[in-house]
Amino acid sequence: MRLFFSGLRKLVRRPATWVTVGLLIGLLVLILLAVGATANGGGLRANSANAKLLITFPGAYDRILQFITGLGGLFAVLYGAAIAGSEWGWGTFKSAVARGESRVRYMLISYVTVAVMIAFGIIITFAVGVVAAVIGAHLANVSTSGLGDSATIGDLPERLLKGWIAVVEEGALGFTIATLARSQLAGIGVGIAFYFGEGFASLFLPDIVKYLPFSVANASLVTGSSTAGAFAGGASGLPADQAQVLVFAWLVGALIVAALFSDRAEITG
Amino acid sequence: MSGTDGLALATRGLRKNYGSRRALDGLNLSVPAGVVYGFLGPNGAGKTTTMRVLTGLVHPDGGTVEILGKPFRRGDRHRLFEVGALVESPTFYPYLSARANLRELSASGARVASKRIEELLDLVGLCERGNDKVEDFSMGMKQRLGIGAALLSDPKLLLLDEPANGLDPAGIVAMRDTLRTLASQGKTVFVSSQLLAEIQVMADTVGIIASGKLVREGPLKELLAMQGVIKVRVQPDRVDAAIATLAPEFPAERLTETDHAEGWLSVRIAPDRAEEISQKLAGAGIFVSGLESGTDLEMLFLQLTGGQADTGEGSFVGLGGPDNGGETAGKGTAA
Repeated sequence: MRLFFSGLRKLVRRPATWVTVGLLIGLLVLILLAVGATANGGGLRANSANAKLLITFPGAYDRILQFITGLGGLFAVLYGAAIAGSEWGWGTFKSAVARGESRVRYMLISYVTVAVMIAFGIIITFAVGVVAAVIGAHLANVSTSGLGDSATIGDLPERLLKGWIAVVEEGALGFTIATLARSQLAGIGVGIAFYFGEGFASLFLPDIVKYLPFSVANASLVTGSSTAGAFAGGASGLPADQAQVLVFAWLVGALIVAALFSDRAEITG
Repeated sequence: MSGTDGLALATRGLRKNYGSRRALDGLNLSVPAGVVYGFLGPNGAGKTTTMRVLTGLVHPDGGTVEILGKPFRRGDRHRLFEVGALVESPTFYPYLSARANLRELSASGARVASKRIEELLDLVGLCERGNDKVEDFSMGMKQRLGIGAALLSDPKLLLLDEPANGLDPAGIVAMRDTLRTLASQGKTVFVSSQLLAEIQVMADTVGIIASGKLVREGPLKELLAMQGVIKVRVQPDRVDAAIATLAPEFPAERLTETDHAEGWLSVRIAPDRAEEISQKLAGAGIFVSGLESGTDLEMLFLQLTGGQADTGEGSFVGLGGPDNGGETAGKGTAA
């Protein structure tokens, strides 16, 4: 537990944590307020109607969540890579190992703390997003009567949980890539390349790409009323329940690779 | 492991290769408990690799390590709970304060009392800067914090890799006093360094490695006693005559003309034979106008490591070109 709480303290005080969540919240708020301010300002009626869906409850809950799990997934890749890469680049992993700490435990607990921070990030972003959508709805004179829709609100905990698992899986990829590369920058770069590369490859190899990590993360979040969303990388070709199993498999697999590599690695830097 | 009783640290036949390069080639170290042990060697000789092996950062290809009387094998990480280490450069989270860094580091490995962090900040002179971020620290301050971090668990064995790096003269003196004090308390301090003068005044025992092998090890006083230097000054026009007088008794490798214009000769023998040299020259009608005697770790080091090590890293040749090794050594003989 010492290591866990230490990991949390380190992440709470780390600028990258607040930059990442701040950027996600900032973009979401900007979009929702911009939609609210401009939805009635002209343009094509169809576009305006589509835009208003973002700030119309109860559907807005779903769209805010899509944004968080979509773009948030990419941010999680970057965040996971930054955390793992810095442990190697700054030599702090080395210091812990030289003190007799278990390499596997150190790396796994590091990622557990990342997952906890992702959970907080999702909840905070979601809450701020709902407030921004309400403000946007007021700006656009859209009714907020659906805000208290009990069926949607009842589903939210489960959907947030699934969203968190999907984002945590994507973050684990960044974490593992940076661990293998022993570098923040390499981890972030390769993570971005995988994220967009998977989306691009889905145009040509959909039957293969649908099993890849970002695609299964997207697919795991698709419900009867929602899609993976415009902000997501990869494809979403699998049934949600099957995708959820694969999300879990990718998450566990990525962490096993990171743990094994850390355990075997020669720390020479 | 045989013959390691009373040793805080012992390696036997330690081998490590990086690809085709052999970093350690059957290294045998015997570090007695309760001493400051100076671990010396040229660049690329294997000092840092040894440190990495001793702290479990890299795994040896062969050989054995014993820490505080118990075998240290892959996976025996608990052995390191009684070891403090500063390997290569000190490493910290730059966005955290010095105090927070020590606190978070103490969450790994052996348990540390929270008051220990304040004691260490005080010890390394960073109490007033304890809440400043490490990214704002100078190299010397980071080094001091690194030494503090190595002492977190109040270790019985302290492994320090170039601890004087970046320290100002006052910091070096304070570090030396601290390490001597730790040794006097029964702890063992294993210091890798290129600063021979520093090791000479600090270490009880030294080990010198070259090309991954131990070339000499033992109590510093004993090693230096075998490595005396007597520097004699005669009239410049009598230098050749002085050499001719001493040559029958001292082979050319022990007798060096270090400064003909000033009339200085160096003779590498035990310092207590200075009178004998003086008498011999006087007997030949050559009068000594200056005489210095002493011992020099640098001379021993250069002699044992061949001046420049065959390390694959290359070496610093200097402005005098590649042949100046002996001359440099000769000029460094006066104590």
